[in-house]
Amino acid sequence: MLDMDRDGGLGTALRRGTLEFCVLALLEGQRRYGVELVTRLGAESALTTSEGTLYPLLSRLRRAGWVDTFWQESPAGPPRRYYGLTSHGKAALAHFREEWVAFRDAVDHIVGTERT
Amino acid sequence: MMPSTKGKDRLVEEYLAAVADACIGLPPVRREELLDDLREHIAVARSRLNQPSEADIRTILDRLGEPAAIAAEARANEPPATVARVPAWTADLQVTRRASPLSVVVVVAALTFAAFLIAMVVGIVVFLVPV
Repeated sequence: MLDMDRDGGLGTALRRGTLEFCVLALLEGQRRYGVELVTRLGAESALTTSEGTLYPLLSRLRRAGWVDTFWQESPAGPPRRYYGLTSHGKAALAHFREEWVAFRDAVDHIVGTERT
Repeated sequence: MMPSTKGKDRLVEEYLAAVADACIGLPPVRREELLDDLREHIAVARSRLNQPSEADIRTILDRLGEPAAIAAEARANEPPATVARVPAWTADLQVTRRASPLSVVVVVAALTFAAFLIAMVVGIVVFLVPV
């Protein structure tokens, strides 16, 4: 039986594998500190359940070598950890863009969600 | 002002303790890293506000989200072998369909019987039709 209350599971499944590339895209051409990054993503309710859930993802992207970080003094308050895209991260994002277009088109075609 | 600062710090420490408790099964190094990231987030978010109130701190923590949800996400971002206890919902993913042993036996028996019938028909035809 279709249980619409468990839609959260669908959201989680759709985010898995796509959200990390949204992070990479936000860092393209611009370094951002953690709060800035998660606030920006947290504002998109379709992408994020809460700001805190993004930190494990950022940790994995650091370990994968797709982003690097450095600490920078802030004019007010504690130093901030800035995130930037590495060459590996740029390549991963470019690859995702190609795959995503093909994937999206195929799903739209089968499911009948093509935009007219 | 000192007592209220203390109250705000206590809110933060309670929140981080709840996250630490929820991180069961996560490698200790990963748990510490997560707590450091969250601690830094809270410190920076506080510094962006002009004299944040207790309500402001609660808002920062609310936006970070449920400790259990953050811990679950941390486990999901780990290679499976390093996670000691997997969340219950992954059990749904373990359901895979396999052919049952009985259906395999039935199919093999049917194929054998069919081959036997064909061999018999061929034998009879060869025997009855004179060359």
